[in-house]
Amino acid sequence: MLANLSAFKNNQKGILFMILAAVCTSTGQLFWKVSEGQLSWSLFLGLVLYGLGAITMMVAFRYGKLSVLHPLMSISYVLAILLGQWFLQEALSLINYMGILFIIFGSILMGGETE
Amino acid sequence: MITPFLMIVLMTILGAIGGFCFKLATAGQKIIRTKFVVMFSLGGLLYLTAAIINIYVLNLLPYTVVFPLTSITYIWTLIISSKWLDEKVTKKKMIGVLSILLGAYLLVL
Repeated sequence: MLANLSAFKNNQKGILFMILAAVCTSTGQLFWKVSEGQLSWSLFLGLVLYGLGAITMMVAFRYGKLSVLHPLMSISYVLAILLGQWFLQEALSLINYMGILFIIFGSILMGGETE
Repeated sequence: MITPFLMIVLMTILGAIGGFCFKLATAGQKIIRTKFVVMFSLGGLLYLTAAIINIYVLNLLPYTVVFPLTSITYIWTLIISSKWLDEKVTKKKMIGVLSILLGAYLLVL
């Protein structure tokens, strides 16, 4: 009931583009963070990636409902926190991992919705 | 006097309306050029404004406060899409968005 497979099939394209949009957005934010707001290549690259994320999100909206797909952008939160851990050595606690699970759970609920 | 919290609410509303414009820009099989350009530009402008407010508010409030509140955007998205796009607000969607909100809060604890 929870994971309605045919709904996922319906939303497949939209979900994939949203994941790509989330990757661009979170990577863009990582470059912002690295630049520390100083005008630099990493700030510029961050802006480009962030913009690319917005455009990819728009493409995703072609393939499904706004109320289903837009919340999937929250996958970028999960990616951002993981990127922070990998590249900036920001430690994660058990509670943070619970947060990741809640976001993934919420995203699965959204992705399995066709109404 | 606009408080930082009011700015966050404004930021999330702009983000949601920006998403709505993007949706309108891609609506229909045939991209009508004028409509696409208008909605794409408007959506982009709103999306960018929301990002700028986000960066500004981060100077006033801690990241741990601003970050989870950003996901309020999706509550507006549910409301907007039910009002203007005839999409239903289902139980599944409500639980999904609440779960995302809770998850975002736990991410920065």
